[in-house]
Amino acid sequence: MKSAKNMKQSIRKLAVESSSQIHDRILDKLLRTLDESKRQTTVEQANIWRIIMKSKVSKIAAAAAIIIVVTMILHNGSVDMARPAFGIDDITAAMQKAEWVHCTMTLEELSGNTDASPFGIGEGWESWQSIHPLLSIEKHSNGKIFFTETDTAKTFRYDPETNIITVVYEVPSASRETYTSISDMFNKTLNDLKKQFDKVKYEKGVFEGRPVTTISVDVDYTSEGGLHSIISFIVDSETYLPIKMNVQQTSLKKNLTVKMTGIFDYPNTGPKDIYEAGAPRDAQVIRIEAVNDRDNPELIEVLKPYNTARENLISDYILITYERGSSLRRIFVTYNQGRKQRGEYHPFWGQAVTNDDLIAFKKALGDGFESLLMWSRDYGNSKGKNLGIDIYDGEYFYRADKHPLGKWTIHDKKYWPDTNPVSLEDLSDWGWPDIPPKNNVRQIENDYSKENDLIAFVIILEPNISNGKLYRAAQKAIYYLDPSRDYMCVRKEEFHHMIRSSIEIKNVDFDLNEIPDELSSVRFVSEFGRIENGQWYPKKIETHSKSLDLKGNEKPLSLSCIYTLYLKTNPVFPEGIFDPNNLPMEDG
Amino acid sequence: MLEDRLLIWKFKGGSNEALCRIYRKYGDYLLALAAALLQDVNTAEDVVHDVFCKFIESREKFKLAGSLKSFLATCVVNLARDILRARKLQNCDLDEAAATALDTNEPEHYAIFGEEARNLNHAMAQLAYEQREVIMLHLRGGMKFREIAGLQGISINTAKSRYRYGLKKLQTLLSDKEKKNEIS
Repeated sequence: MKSAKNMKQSIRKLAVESSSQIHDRILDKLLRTLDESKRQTTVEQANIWRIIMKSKVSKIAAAAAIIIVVTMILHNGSVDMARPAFGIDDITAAMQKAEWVHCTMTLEELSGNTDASPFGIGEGWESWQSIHPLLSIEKHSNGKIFFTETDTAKTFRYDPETNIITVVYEVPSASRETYTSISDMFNKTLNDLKKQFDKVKYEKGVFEGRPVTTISVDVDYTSEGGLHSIISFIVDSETYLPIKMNVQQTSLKKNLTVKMTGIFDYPNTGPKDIYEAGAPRDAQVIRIEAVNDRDNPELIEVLKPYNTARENLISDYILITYERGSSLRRIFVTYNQGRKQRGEYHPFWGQAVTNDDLIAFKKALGDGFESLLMWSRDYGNSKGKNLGIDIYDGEYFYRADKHPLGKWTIHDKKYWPDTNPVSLEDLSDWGWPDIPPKNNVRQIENDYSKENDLIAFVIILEPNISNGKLYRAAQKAIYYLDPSRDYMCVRKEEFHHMIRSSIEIKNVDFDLNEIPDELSSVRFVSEFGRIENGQWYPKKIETHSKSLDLKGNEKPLSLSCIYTLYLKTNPVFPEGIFDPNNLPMEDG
Repeated sequence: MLEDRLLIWKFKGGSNEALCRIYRKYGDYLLALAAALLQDVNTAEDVVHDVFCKFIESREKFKLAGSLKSFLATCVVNLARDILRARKLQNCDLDEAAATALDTNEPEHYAIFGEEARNLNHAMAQLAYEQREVIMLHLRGGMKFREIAGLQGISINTAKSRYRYGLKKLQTLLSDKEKKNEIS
């Protein structure tokens, strides 16, 4: 370091050694975070947007008719002001005469945080619905095209960014829910939507010289974190056909209001395939053999003993899960009282854990339920440590996170009326995971199940492609249930292609519909416990999995994680522990 | 600058490619900055990861006022300061923490910086934290003294003084080291 100039040059070039490995690691995690963030945003946006805005055109038109009927049913004839002189039969009959329905939806106005809008002013989508054969086509202003042949159970999706057409083949099934006609669609949509409407208004008027009835619907889901939508349909009073639709939607959460207009017309013909809808002939075509994931009533019976054991699990307990990989990963404490739950989550990744920390942890943790619980309470309250708290009160799900620096973030509560949120990781998640009674699940018998007297179920998942990237190739999971241990799921095997979070579809060099024969990961209970009433529970669970090295090469199956579960039944719960009002206040 | 605005625009729309490009553009600098400030590559990795995670979380509301590079560097500096403060609260000496962090089997833990820069880094570690921050931000990040002054809550002249005195001390430390090497 002879001169100040050289020294400055060296500082300018200062770079961390082996940084490419670190960057690969960080970027891999960030891409997953971004994907997860996009998925959550999509779910949040769904709600009414999905129900009405993204509906097929005939559904939108059908909604107009349904509103009339629903209002008549709900108000039992008490709404008499400007009631239209026609009913659902008239509109159904008129719609059935039409061979094609065409609608152009355009975004007219945006206000608030306009960056959050999926469309810009003047953008939107165009859609067609044919009755015989049943075809649904959507063409978005960003160039994406969706073409569905209901009769042949095929969906074509065109993505202009990648110039790829993805064809999804559904497995024909007697229980498949499709629309056989427009009136069938009306009836099914009616069932879906009749609980959605709060307020309906009718107004007679004139539109482009024709007598019309305007039907306005007010749907407000803002109290549940959803959208407030005001939708009005203009229905021709003579032909009974919907001719225009205005939609105003407000998201308080996103501080965004959009206004859209839909114009309906009824042409003699429309696009017969995705190419006629605008997809270029040179687009690459990828075929996906879709699995049928609709309900299978027979499987409900088959799974009954398992689900009964699941329902009969003890309901008052504290469960501490201690997760270790190559180092300590996290400690999770679940408090469970009936449907009420509280999860306290102590993650150790994402923050530096020094060897001193590890030594101190091991000492403080001890080797029993009480010492772990004590440690959890002290550690969670101490400064400089992460802590996540989830509370489920049987209806709503609440979440609060503490940053290592002590700052709290409180997330919006989520309406969760049916089942416990899986993130709380209760006893059922560890030993009795949900096996849905769907057509993509079936009971099997293989060497392992026969040798160990276990009942086995296989679940098959289809490939998942989005924006020209493969997020998941076809894969399967086998669950092994042990009837001698309260039907506990004692082993789960997974078979899938080893890919990073996503892979460009052009780089996929294997058949994405083919499921590999070789195990990718296996999770099994290696030690069992039993509580006073005789119920079994998993005491130690091991996971062995394959992984990818930094160059993308596959590494063989190896022990990746050990979970040790500490269970305390019938505990005395601290006062107010399930009360969301006791969550910390947000800083800042 | 224009490219950054385009990347931000795409990133706000959820583009993975935009995130990769932003990361590849500034990741090296941010990691070096965090490692130099914290003297611990593990924590530096966490800091860079956390800064980008926050960036992802807030992307829909994010509005770029100045330079993206300065914005990200400011986030790294703020988080690094918070971590050092938290460590002090835990009565954990920084040098001890760094020494413990190095005591692992993974190769990148043995050396934060390359052989050539190791002496420089060792000398940097002996500077006052504020001086280290100014030197890294100005020399490695190209940040203006006006911006650094704003970030540290000091006058421009004080920022310049910290830079000057820091460099001078650095030079002395390095010269001493060279002399010792020559003698031995």
